[in-house]
Amino acid sequence: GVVLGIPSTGSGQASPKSGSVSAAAEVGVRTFTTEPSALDRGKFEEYRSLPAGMLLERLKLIYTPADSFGTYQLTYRRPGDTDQNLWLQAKRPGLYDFDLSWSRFQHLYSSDARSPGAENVVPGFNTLPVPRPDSTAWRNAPYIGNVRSVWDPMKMSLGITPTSALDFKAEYIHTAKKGGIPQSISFNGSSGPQREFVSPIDQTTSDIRLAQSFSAAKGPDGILGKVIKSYQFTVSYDYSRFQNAVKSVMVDNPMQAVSSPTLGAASSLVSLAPDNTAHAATIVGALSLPYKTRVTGSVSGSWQYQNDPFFAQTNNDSLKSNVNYGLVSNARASLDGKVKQSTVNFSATSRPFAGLTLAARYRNHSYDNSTAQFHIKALVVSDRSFALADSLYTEVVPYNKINTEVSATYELVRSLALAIGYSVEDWNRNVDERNAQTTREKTPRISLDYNGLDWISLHASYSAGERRYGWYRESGTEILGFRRFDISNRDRKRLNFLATVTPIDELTVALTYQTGDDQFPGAQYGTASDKSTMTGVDVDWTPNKRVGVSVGYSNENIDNILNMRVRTGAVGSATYDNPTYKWTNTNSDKSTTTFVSVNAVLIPDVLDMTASASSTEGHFWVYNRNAAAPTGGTAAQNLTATAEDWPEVSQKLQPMALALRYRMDENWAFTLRYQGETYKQNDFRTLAPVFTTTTLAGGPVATNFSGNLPGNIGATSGTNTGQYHFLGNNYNPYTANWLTFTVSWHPSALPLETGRPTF
Amino acid sequence: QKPAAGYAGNESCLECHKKMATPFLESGKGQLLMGRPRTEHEKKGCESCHGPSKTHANSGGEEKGEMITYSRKTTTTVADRNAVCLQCHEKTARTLWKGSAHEARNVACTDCHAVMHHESERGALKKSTVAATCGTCHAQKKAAIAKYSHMPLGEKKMECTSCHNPHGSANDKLLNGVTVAETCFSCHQEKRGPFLWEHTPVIESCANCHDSHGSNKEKMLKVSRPRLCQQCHPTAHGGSVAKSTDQATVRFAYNKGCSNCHLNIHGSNHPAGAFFTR
Repeated sequence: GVVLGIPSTGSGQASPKSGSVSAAAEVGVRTFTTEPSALDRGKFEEYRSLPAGMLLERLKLIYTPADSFGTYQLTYRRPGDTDQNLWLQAKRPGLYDFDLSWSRFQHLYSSDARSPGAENVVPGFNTLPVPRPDSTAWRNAPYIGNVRSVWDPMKMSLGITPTSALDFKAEYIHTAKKGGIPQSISFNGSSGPQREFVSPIDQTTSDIRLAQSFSAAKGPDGILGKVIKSYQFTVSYDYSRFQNAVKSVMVDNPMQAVSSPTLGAASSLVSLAPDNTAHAATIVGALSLPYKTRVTGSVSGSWQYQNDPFFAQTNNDSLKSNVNYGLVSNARASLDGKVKQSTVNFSATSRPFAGLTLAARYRNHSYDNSTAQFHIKALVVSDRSFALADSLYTEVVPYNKINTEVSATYELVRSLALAIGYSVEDWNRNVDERNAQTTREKTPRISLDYNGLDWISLHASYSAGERRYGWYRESGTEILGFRRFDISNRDRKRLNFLATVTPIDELTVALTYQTGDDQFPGAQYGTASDKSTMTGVDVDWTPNKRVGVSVGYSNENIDNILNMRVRTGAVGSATYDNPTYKWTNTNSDKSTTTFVSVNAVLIPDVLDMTASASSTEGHFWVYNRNAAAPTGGTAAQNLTATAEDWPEVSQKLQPMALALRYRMDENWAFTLRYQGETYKQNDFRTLAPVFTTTTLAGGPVATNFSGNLPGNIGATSGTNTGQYHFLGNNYNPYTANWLTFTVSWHPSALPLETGRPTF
Repeated sequence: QKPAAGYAGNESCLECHKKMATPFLESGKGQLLMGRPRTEHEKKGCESCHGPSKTHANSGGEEKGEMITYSRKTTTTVADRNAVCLQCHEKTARTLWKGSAHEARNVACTDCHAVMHHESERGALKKSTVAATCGTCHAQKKAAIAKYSHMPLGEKKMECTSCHNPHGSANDKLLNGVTVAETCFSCHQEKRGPFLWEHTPVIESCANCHDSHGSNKEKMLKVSRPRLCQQCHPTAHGGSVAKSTDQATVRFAYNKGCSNCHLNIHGSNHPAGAFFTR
């Protein structure tokens, strides 16, 4: 039997005959001095849960077998909380390794959503009262609480090592996701009415992964053994099944309580993710050959299936009177979707003599969708109108991608290595669905590594890729000279520089500089340029064994430029392809991160301290500019084509933490932790909108719509005239300050933790 | 058992290095090598990794001899150090180490892992988490996971290794999945399909629209909607300028932008979902 004992150190205490169990725990209380309101906790608790009150932070049980061989432990953090996890490990080195982990967490999308309806109260139905709420009702709608999904991933794995040459591993992963997520639907085309709603999530995934590996420390007997020094292979099979308990959601139209053949349905059905399954099988092999040559290869195949029953095209029965209604029946009852992917990979690396490394790689990946096409005779658009589309078939988009690469690395002088490489990436796509059937990207690269002195290491690399399509088929409905960024001609340059300097043993400084420059030659419209620059410095200072200090800073700037043109009026008219209606959009991003952390043993074995503070600041700007004032159309058309910058969007998060742990003796410790956070966000897109309509010439304000999300933008009074109905969720700014006091029993088994996520 | 020629034996090592060895002896590797070795190689204990150390021991630690050492100032080459680890760890996830991006960059196993005393709960890492370990070199990625829109790496709900195999992979960017999409589908299976109406960039790469390491935009988007969508759909809705103050176009800019209507943008299985609106 097992003896429950309390070891003097908190770690396992072996009993000569039966083994022993030891335990450690950390319990305490969390209290806020400044607590964000329930409406302001969206970003504060985005991926975590921080309630005030009692908490069981950690519980650890350790079993030590009689022979003291193996690791058997259970760690449970924050049981009962939304943010909790459990880890069970049973490991007998060289024999087996069993691991069970379960980690529940939430993804909080919104804490301040409002709606006059029942949002996800009955999953699959988002209802509104009859008669439909007017503007006043929308603007005074009640808060509906947190909109979130709770993830419950459980992973169980068993590794068996019957001999040092064999490894078998079996994994089972079960993930449940429940809750809701804000989504949005339009009931009558792009002009609305539109309604944001809480879409239900009730999904389950089961994955099984099996893998068998074999490693031979020497080659086979006979002549092959003279060539093959050692070999390894792994065979694996993965199965994944996704199940969705709620396949659709019926959303009430905020403007229509009765379905209409012209204005749309009283309720519209939105499809949610269908069930699907996937299989994958992989064989990986490797041979070690003379001259330090290693040849590896892998072959994998995967298959995905989906065959959920189709929904009817529309639930708007009032459309039955339309002469085209008879054309909307589904061509078949379900998709019977089948996708097959295959990948073949070969690589070889060799060091024929000291200082020289040669490498080559070939990879061929194919994606093939063998689903039979689905023919639409008449498409129901927004449950309101019919698009007669005899030629409308589902698009099957297979592709094949081949990567080939060779490289050579030569040590020019001791510890200074020069590497040159050349890679080619070929894509072959379905030209019926994509503008370009083939693209080829050729990328030469060069790098230098130096680590000849023990106080400095340097790495610098540069690559210059050139992607070209074979032939670009311009669509008749697209602007002449437009190119899609993912298949258009592209010149790509990348520069990386990394230096690690250790002037004294106690100090390490890491410097990083990276630039990226994508240019899209020949793209008169579409993405023209994408540039980025990142600079970073990290400093680690350990003046003595009791103190460690880390400081870091990074700055990143991204500029993405897109050329566009407004089209309005009839095909062929002066405003349809008017050169003055061209506008250029620049997305500019700036991100700055600064952090400092200190870990110190103030009094050895008695008083420990950890402190950290950081600041993460992000800004982005959307600049929209015309080269010259648009002309050639009516005043209204010219105004439509007149570009306008967006307001700046910014976020700033500044967390800090200070913790002191006092060890009274080997069995007891007390930890006092102070944490503070401030978050600021300014995003006009989700804040209560303040916008105006102006007269056609941009003159005086005609109507001033301001604030009052949720929704019904366009309505200025209590009349039911608005078109856009939002839940009004926004990550609100917050300030939070809180104290956590915990008592640890057997603290040596529970290291003092640092960083924002803790507590 | 008497040590082989050139070898000092565990007892000699522990005479001087007992304090350093204590945490190692409690680890799985220590238990195996020092307690229950299965092979002749494992029976060498400390010297199964450090090589013949008799010269070192006999000199009272003054001479290195044939020893293999792993400290920052070691003169043992990275290749020789890694070869020691690969003697036992070249199968399973490390089969493709040789020829991998990290091996080609001369990364040592001990740049990330600490055998004698590790900081992490799992994986014998030199830093407390995988993200912190990878962030030592990948500063841009480390900064990205702190951006406004990010996956929960900082919150310790996933790791870099949830998507990447740093020990070598047959796939681009050391991904675990054969493609970017397949990697993402390991958690987002609801987007796997196949759907009746597929959205091509979703199939080819999630990274066409998302920066999975973090972004200043919602949903880790690379650029804000509607600009994101207009990169491929320049004439949709007239190539609208989407002004923030214009009621006629505000629906394209506010809240979810294009997704205000095209909600099933990753694919729709609704027969009326050709434009991802149902």
